[in-house]
Amino acid sequence: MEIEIERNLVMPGDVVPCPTGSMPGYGTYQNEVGEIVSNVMGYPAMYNRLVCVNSLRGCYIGETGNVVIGRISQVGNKRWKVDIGASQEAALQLSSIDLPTGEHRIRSEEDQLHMREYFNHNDLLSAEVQSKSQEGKAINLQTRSSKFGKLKNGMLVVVSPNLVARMRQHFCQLNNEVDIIFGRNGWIWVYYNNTNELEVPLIRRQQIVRISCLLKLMNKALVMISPEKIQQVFERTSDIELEDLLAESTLERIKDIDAVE
Amino acid sequence: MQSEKKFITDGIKQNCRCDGRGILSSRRIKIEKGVCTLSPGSAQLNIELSSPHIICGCKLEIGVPEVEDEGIVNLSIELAGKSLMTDKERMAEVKSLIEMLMLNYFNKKQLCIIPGRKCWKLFIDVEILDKDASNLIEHISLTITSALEDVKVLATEGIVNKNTKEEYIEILDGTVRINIDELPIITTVAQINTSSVLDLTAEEEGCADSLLHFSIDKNGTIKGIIKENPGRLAVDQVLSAANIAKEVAAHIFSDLGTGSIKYKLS
Repeated sequence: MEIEIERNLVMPGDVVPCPTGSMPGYGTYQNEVGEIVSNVMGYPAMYNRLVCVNSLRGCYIGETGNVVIGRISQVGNKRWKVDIGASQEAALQLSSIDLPTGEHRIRSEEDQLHMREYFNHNDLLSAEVQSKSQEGKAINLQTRSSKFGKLKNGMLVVVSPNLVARMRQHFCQLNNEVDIIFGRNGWIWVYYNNTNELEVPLIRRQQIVRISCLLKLMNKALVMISPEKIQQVFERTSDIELEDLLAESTLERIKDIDAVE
Repeated sequence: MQSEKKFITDGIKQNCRCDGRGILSSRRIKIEKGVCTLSPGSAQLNIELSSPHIICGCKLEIGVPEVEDEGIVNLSIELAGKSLMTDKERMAEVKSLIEMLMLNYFNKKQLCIIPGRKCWKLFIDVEILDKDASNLIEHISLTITSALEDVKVLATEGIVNKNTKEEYIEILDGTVRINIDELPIITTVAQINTSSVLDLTAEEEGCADSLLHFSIDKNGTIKGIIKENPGRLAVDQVLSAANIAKEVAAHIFSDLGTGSIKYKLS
């Protein structure tokens, strides 16, 4: 069970306030005097007697079942190497993708020759973490569902992975207009949902850009990102012109919106 | 990658870029002078809402001139925390561009102390702090200009003893400023799908067909043009880009003193 001790930011070297008899967990260590000291910047949390610090910044660590967004970094033999901004290396096996024709069969050598048609170098894709290797050093991805696959008609926003919590739906639609995919690795795809690749209409584009700008600002303001929060921030900043959105004044306002709650 | 490129170029066609700007407006940049206490002149350039971008420090020492009555200017540009070969090559390119377009027009005669014997050696060190810094040429030129404005040189007088031919450098009271009235700044106008775009972000730079660097001085005279990237340009495209660059330069020169620059052309 997770108990937040106090929502006080701790810095590396700060003593984490905790009851006596606690044990140091990740993000902490015990000094000579026996105090538990943080070695990252973040918010402390307690799991039974274990004191941990959830770091605010840092690399994504893959977990099975997470939705992530990645970029193909290498096309290899029967698999793609995918960059998901994690400390681990991610791979997508040829056998763990959906064929465009939709048939289920064992992948032949013919398919290997067509790998670049499915995903080419530098393509962005959404996928799910299927499994981790035993030492946790490698990640296997899968796109065996129609909702995963190559991304188009939109733009990528990279935020801190710690701000994207697990949510019920990682694929969501805001105001029935703009679609968002929240990758747990902090990569967020904001797009116009259409089966074809086309020139995004200006009104939709303005909304996509507006939401992306808000995401960048929320990342700066260290606000937890969720569809409800984006909706709230979106409504409270709707009076600001799109061109003036990326400014320090908006950042202050987003911080205020977050502090009220 | 292709779909992202398409999204960006379509946005430029529709005059709505990925950070909400129109194609002819810039991000707000802030330039702070005198950030390094140990250097006689320094400046730091930040872009609003992003990490520190570029820092520039100047250093002066006395040396022997290479040309009879001129001083020596030495530029170095480095990318912090990176040592990839491609980055180093890029930095060498940027350095030669800045030298060609900007420092060639620096009045080196003012650095002379005793003609042929002693002169000031001016070292300009630029460090790029942001890992995906963009619109580098323009921003570096602005940082260097601000740093040079900040430089205070000890007032000196060179004396040569007529009989013994010995040289003395006498240090006078007070300091002098470097004269940079003739020094141009560089503005970059990019061409993406035949539209002129100002102040590119790193993603947009990947889509640019061609980048035109104009070096323009205070009076609005164009002193040099260099083109990067393999795109093709029509003559009237170059002319319209030149007009845009002139307008931008006028905006920059009027705002440079305030330390906060944001331009938007209609």
